[in-house]
Amino acid sequence: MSESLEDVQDRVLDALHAGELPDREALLAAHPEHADALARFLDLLAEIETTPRAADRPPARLGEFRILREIGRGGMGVVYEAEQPSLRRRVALKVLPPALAHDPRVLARFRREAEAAGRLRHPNIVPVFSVGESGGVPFFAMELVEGRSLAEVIRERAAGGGSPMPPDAWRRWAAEIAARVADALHAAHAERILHRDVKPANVILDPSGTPRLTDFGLAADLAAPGLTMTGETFGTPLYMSPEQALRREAPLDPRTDVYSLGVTLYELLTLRSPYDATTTPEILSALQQGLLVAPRKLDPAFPEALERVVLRAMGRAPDDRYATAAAFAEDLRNWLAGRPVEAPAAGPPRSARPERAASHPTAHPQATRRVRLRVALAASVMALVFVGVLWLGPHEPREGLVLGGGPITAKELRALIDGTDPEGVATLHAWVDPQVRLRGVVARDELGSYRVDLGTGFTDPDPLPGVPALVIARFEAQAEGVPVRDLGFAYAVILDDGVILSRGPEVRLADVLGHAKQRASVVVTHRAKIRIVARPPTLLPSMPPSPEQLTRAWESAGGTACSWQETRTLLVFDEAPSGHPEFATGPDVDPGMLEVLSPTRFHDVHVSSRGESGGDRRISVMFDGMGAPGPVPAVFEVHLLDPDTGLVLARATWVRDARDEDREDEVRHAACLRFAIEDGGSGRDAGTLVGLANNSAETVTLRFVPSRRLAFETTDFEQIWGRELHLVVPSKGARDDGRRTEAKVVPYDPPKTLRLRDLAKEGAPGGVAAIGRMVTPRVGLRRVVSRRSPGSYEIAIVLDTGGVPVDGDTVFLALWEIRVDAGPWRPIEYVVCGVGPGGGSGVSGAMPLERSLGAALSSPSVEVLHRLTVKVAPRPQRLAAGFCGVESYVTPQPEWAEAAGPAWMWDSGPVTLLVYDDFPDDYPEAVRSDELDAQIRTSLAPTSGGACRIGPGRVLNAPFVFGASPVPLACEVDLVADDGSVVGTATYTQPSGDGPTARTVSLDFVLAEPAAAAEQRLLLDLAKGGAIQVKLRFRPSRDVARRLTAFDRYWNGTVTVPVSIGGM
Amino acid sequence: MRRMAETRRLLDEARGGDRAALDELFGRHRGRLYAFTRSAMGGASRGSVAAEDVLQETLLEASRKLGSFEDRGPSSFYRWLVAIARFKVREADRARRAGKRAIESPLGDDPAARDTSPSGRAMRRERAEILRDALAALPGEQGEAVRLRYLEALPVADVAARIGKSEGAVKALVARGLASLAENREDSG
Repeated sequence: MSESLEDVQDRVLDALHAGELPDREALLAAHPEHADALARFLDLLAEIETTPRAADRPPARLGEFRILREIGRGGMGVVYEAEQPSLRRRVALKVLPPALAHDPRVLARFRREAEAAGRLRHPNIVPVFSVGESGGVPFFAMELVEGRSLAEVIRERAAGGGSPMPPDAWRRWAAEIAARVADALHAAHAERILHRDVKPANVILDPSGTPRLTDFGLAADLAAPGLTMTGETFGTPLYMSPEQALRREAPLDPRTDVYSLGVTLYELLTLRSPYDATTTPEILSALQQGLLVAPRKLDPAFPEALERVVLRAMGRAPDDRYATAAAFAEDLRNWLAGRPVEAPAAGPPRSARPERAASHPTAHPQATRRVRLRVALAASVMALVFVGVLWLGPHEPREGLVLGGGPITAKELRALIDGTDPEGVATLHAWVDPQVRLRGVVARDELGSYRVDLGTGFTDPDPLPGVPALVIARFEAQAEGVPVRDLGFAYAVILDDGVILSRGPEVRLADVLGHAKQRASVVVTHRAKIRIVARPPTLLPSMPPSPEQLTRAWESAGGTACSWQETRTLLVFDEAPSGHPEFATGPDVDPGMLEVLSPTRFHDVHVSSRGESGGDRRISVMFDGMGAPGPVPAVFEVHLLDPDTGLVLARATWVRDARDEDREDEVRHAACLRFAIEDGGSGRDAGTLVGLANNSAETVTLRFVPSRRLAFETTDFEQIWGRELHLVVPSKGARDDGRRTEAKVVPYDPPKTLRLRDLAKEGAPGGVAAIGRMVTPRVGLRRVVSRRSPGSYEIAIVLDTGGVPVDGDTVFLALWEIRVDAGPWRPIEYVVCGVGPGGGSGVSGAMPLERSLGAALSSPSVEVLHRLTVKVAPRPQRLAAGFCGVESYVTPQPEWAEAAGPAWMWDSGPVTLLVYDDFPDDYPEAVRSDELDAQIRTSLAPTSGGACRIGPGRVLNAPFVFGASPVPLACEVDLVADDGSVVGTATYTQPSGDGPTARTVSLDFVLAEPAAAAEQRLLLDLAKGGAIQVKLRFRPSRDVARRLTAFDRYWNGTVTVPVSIGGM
Repeated sequence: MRRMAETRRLLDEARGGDRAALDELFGRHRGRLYAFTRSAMGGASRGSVAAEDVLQETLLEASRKLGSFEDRGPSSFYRWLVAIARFKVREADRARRAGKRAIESPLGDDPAARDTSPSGRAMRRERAEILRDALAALPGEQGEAVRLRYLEALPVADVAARIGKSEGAVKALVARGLASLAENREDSG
């Protein structure tokens, strides 16, 4: 495939325009015939593209090292030649580029690399002398090796230059080199360090001809798994082992390096790549299928034994390869010494035998199907990583996982992945439970939002095996009288083992409900389409994918995975409840609402007994009214309690039946629970159980318990479900009537709003200690946030019991939720937990804000809304009696949720943090917003966006620019003339989507008729062409806007705008 | 060893407010954009820091308007930068003609770092400046083709339409133009 120099150069320009750095080596290797001209061309471009900015120039010194020149630059760092005066030696300094030095992941990798490499001492490994940091720039110093890399040697020989070694001698030399590199790798492996990026460019031949392995840039400590779980893929796919390139579930081991060295040796011997492939997807496909070209196909004179050694090292499965790099080295030396080689003649059963590999690409049908799917997945993953590779070849990247066709269960999906599925294509029907949870009620003036939980809702519990997936749901909603609107995406990132790593943002309903505000309630119809795609490595778990990324992943996923539809009723309130966005059950909410939302009625209780000893006795309870129209958790537990002792007699787990989705009207709000009565109870519970089993009349209590933290968080479990029902189990006589017996239900009526001070009252719920008096908790911000280093809060909350001693068996559990609203709105919530002993002591916790501030660092300030839930609960056993330290932080435990019920909600209101460029010497405590200096205030306020223009139809168009403060959903803007009279009014409404994107807004003001005096003057002036000014005055149109956007502080002012004549 | 860029990821991160990603993203285009700025400013920029200021102003503006950038393909981001730069150049021209100070103070440029550069580095930088000026001054169709194709990132077909040549001829013009720069540099350097 020969291409003209002009075409190659043109593609390089395209790559540069796309922001890609051309891979010099790969280019030169791919076009040896143009190598010289291409090298000159690349040099020239590199020089022109040299950035003129000071920050990218190298520092003069780093620590004790004096920098002399830049040697090279890779994705992970810049390498300088430097001098170490104390030892009078030259070294190579590897430094993180400043742009990356702020990324903690990159920093961690860099340090790991340095530490790993620093431990290695081997004649064939370029040693690392020291690791340091200077002025925040981490670096390490290694030996400066003069010489050429194997890549250069290969290129030279391929172009016909270099040493005129005859083929035979060349092969012996190559084998010797590879054996020595294998020695080095073995030494690294013994230190539990993988290289992971072995390739010709990383083997340098020093002037004495000794191969030196360098750039442990991708080294991962074998002892520290997990660091590869972030979805990043490094390295050049050409040299990667199949398991590394295709990201199989098994952790990498030394045999991945054996493979890469095998490829390196192959290339050294044959001067070409082992695969007939140019694009990344092709390479991946070839890799997975073992489609390598046997050396003897290329050159019948190639020694057969050496071929076996090379192909053994490049076995497709790790088990097919040499078990260690040392074994590889030994076999190479066997060949060199003329001894028989270990590598089997016919190849091991599953290895890529030369003949077969070359001519029968699909030897194992089953494995191949797995191969295809994996390859397709990996290809879509890799396509995103190696964007830059694609321009080397003319082909488009292959499609990703395509799902379409008939229904599939998890089993079938697995079959598909395992390659036993006959068709190879299926639709994910089993993904039946995307579990949409309504996060809150929707206020008339407020942003409504869904919280969407995309779990692994397969009909059997196996998640997608071995496929790190991105699950995307695209939501549409329709409210009464409002056409279908696209709400956008929700997503979940799922790891190989089915663990949900991160989950997408809330889906906002504001757009839809904007048109439904007049009603007391709206019915919102949802439709979600769900797709599963291979998780692109660009979607790191720590980072919310952008809508663009999701759209791309969505489009590349092809067919529809699952269609699903659900109808919900949302209640619309006039004003956000105080506890927004949680569902508020405070005094603002009609108590009747709680009854509607809570599970209340049981219509059948049936106790059956099977088995002689009572070992298999069950109690069935049929109930309905499952929280209609409130959200129902996917899973929860119901405990059967003895109402007298509060002891748990039996438990049942309710799991939402996937099939309910299809016939939701009949089944949706009813459930049947079966409690297995366990043996082994004693005393009173045994008696109760026996009584129940015998159907003698008993009263029991049902307590609803969230079985997962998720349920707790997403369904307002505490308020709606966290209650107890007293249940009268029918007497024996009732049993004879048959199974359908109406049971009398006595709903337990918990306090609707429980404040701590209520606890002092008589009859406080059991398990909660009495507290005399509650004083408002105080929140103190301990830190301002720094632009440079991760900011964090330390929040001290003092729960003052007013001097009344609290029982020593009581603890406070405080859960904070913090919402950061910064410039571009990216609310992120944190929950932290603090524990305090009774007795009026403080509770404190700290939380990193680093992530949420990613979006806010360009703003001079961020708004932080706190919400605090304080629970008073029996002290868990594990907090031993000696516990009293307020310093210690305790991870929230699931059982604490069980202790829920009484809680006290508190909303501190927004607190403004100032973002500094660096930590001030003595950073102040929270700066109250009224102390903001004028300059910051100005930057937060809206400003003029240029001249306003008057156009036909007596319309005045006035632009303004948002400041850095949050932008209200809607506000009124008055046009004010010189004398203060209002000549026009317009309403600004925030567009739907992820917050305002355009910072400049133009508003049209229709000038009122009849003209007032001021207006007349205004028009007259305009008509005369005189330059005048008008003022824009902002008014909050709603109370919520005022509260959420600190309207009074930043928006409540006027902006003067010059007026110019002109068409609009 | 150069790793291929993850331009889109950078772009997305930058839009999410990640400064480091933005810096990295700009860094990949800065040199070329600078060359474009110099070429667009013509002789006016010689011997002054005006081009550098315009560049900084361009990037500042771009960082402010990042939200309004629409991704329309691999080169669209750079072309968007070029569009802003062209606007800024015009703005600077107007300001200069009006006798005003051209540009507000730029993004965090560190004047101290300039002085600490080793001389060799400075020399190389100087050579890069000369190269960029030579690029801006390339005569005739060759220069036109190079500037449109390389500095303004127009597709080959568009360049061909502009200067009335075939696409193959445009590629050849660009290649020859850049090659002539390389030769001149070798002569002088």
